[in-house]
Amino acid sequence: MPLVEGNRTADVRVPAGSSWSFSHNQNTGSDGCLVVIIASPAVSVSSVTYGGQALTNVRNDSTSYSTFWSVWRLNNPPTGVNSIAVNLSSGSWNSTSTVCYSFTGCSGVGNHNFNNTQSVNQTTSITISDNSMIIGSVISGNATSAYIQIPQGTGRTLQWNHNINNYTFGGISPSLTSGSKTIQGGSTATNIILAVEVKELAVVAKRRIFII
Amino acid sequence: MEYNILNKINLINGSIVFTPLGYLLNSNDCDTINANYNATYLNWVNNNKSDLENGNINISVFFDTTPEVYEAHQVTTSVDGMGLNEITDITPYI
Repeated sequence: MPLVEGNRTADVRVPAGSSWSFSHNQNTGSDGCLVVIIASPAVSVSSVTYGGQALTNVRNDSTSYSTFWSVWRLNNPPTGVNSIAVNLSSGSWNSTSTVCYSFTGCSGVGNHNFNNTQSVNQTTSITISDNSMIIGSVISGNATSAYIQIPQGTGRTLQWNHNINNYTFGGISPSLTSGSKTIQGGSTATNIILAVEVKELAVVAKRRIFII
Repeated sequence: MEYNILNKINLINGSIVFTPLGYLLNSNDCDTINANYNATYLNWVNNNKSDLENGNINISVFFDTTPEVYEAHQVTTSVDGMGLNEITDITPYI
């Protein structure tokens, strides 16, 4: 079964506390996976649940924009409408970005990389498996002429663009061929960038041996 | 298709509560509602952020004069099963 991007929910809000929740619809289909990226100024994320099931933390970075950037995943999440619940390490009055991607035919998150050096049109690279998709995310000083290229040179639709003191925006590629991929994003201001591989479930080749 | 969820924000028993009321398909309606949110609630929070963080002021001060505020910053590709309907008249929310 090929890797298929399903439903997406993007939310930005002032938590006004240390937790919040909203609904997201995980697609039906085998080998589901839910990937969540959170950009939270000043305060780190301590846990995320979906339908009461805890997501696994893939990475959690303190960035040069004084914003924590974390990636979470849940393999075989419950399907249908369930609640995404985010818990912070303490209360926050800063607008916080949460982006949720659902997939089927997925084995989870693969490689990921993050370039924390602020530069205009920043890049980062990861090596991916065949048919993986890449989620690219940017934190930037502004969103003027914001863009994401996955891989570098191929523009993708911005699927979220949130004001979080600074700005965070990004998008996703379709399935790509294997190899090293550089992604690029930015605006008219300096930025940092994050790449996350979403892997297709590898099909195990079956071989029949006939003994005569 | 992208659905913009219209949320009501109010204070219940001392806690901020987001209540989804429906969804918007008109991006101009979203901009209007979010501009009002930015100019009122978000502006107040940003102007009082240090005092809110230090506990020197309570968010109830804002809701004493503005009991409800609305925003449409949540965007989703599916509203199936959420029990939400399209909202075409945003007059009550601005």
